[in-house]
Amino acid sequence: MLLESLKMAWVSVRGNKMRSFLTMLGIIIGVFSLTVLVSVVSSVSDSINGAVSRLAAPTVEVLIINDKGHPLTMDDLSAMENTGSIGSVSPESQFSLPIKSGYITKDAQVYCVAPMYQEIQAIKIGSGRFIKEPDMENHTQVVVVSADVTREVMKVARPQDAIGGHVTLGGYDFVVVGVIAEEKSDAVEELLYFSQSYNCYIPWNCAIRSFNQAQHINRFAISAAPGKSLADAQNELGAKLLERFDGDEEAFHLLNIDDALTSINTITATLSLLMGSVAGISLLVGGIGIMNIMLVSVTERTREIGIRKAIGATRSTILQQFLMESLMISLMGCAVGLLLSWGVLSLASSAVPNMSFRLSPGVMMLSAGFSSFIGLVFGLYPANKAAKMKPIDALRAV
Amino acid sequence: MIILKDVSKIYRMGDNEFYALDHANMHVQEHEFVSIIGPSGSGKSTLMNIIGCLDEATEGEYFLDGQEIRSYSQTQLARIRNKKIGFIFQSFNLIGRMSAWENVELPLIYQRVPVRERRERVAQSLERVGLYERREHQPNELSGGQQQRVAIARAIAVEPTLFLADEPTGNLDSHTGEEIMGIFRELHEAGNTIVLITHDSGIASQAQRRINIMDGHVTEVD
Ligand SMILES: Nc1ncnc2c1ncn2[C@@H]1O[C@H](COP(=O)(O)OP(=O)(O)O)[C@@H](O)[C@H]1O
Ligand SMILES: [Mg+2]
Repeated sequence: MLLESLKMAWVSVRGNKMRSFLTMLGIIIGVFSLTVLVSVVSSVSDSINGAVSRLAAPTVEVLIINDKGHPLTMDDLSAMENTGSIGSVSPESQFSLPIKSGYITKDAQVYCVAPMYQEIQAIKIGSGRFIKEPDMENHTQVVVVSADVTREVMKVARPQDAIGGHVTLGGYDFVVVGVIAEEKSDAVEELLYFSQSYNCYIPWNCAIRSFNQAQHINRFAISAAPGKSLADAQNELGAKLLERFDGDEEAFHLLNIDDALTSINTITATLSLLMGSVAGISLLVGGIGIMNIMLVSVTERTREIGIRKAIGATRSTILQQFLMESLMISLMGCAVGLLLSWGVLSLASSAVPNMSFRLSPGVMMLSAGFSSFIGLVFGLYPANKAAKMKPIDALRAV
Repeated sequence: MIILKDVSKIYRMGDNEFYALDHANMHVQEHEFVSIIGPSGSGKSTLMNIIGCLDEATEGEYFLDGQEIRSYSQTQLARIRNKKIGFIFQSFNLIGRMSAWENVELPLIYQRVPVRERRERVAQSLERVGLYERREHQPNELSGGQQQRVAIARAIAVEPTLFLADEPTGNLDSHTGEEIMGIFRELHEAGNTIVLITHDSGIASQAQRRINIMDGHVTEVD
């Protein structure tokens, strides 16, 4: 019986090709915009997540907002190191300084850090070395630079050629001892990197002397001790700082990568929902189109309905037949919409380098489900109208 | 098999009551071939629609196979139309976008007859009316007489207890009409019950028994 109604629905859909297509158009556009928008947002969000977790190590960063006349010093940090869940600790003062080599001057982000910083932030060295303990003790003016500094400021062919070279940071001469490894990045990572370009890492001690930095530390980073969770480390650190700053929670701010990811994901989820709803509304409009056409179809086929009833179709048979028809139209529209968005997403994937927009099975199921729902709901009224016609009245129609 | 007791069909138009059927009494027995004859507008179709369970009487009782028709639900009435009654209409009433085969098959689909048996019965019925070769044709590719034969095949396939024909030759020329009447006579000889409605006494005389209808009044002649 189901197969038969399917066949009958097909006969009717096929019998009116142009009209069926126009009816489908609303669903096609709705499904197309739904899947494309949601897929693009989710691909971008996946990419941001991937980039952030690849670029950022599992670290808790601490910003001291109000030191209450009790600034933290290097000694305080050393005291925290390797206690409980807290692993390594490194100061992380950041400021912007002009970097100069030859005639070229750019603005660099300078990070004043301790040797442990490499481990905490999982910095990969491409050539040379990171800052070491003797650099701290001897206050040597050494710098570890990002690869773009070697390329665009020092103008050397390969990053390793920069080792032993000199750059001027804020008027002081520094010897380049290491270059950060450059990783292949996708479009989103490039965007994130862009704001971080021209990075220079110098020993903390050296910063105190050269740039008149006070001894106190207002920004630092920690890692979790081996085998301990970052959350535990963060909690312990929070407790310690709370004690130090007389229980004032506003005095400092703890920031970890998961928090950042959570807020990114909240934004993209909201964006997804928003775009999804807009596309959903266009699907609804498509549904109204289906209802419209089905009503016309029921009126046109009143006599057919009468004949079917005369030879034994029950109300539910007629109901089923017309519902099947609207379901078929909406599902065919859905299939075409999916095909279309698959094509467009494939095109977009090849147009945007290092970025792939996928049609996720979840989105496909969502649109199939939503389309069937629309087909059934908006088919129900016309189908019911057909089903409850009196056989004699329907037969009399011309 | 069919018993009508004081059946009336009243159409109300404003304050006027119009009796399309006025206290009609009649009966049809099994294996009978009965004709109902009356001029246009006398209430023949109204009577047929009530006998065929397409319409309800306003007053009176109608027993089909011993059961009062009012006791049935809409769905049960649909099943009765489906299994017990083979309709043949003046205007053929085939479904336009479906082939002859599909038209004949439709009531069997509603009966949920299994595919194999269905195929056999459809083929047999179409052969019976001599249209097996034209089974793939749609109604608009067939002549009036051929369309009416498809409609008869559709009724035959159901193996109904009652063939109900409302002016089956009314839209056909006399020669084709005679062919159609031939099929009805054969069906009767094979033991089927037939009620045939007509305004043509020549056609009515081919039945075993005549029932006259005039202005909604039914008179049985034995
Ligand atoms: N739905 C209706 N409303 C009002 N009057 C009707 C309706 N159907 C039939 N009639 C009237 O009932 C009478 C009998 O009609 P009908 O049974 O179709 O006649 P016949 O088939 O004998 O030509 C006619 O006068 C017709 O106008
Ligand atoms: Mg009539």
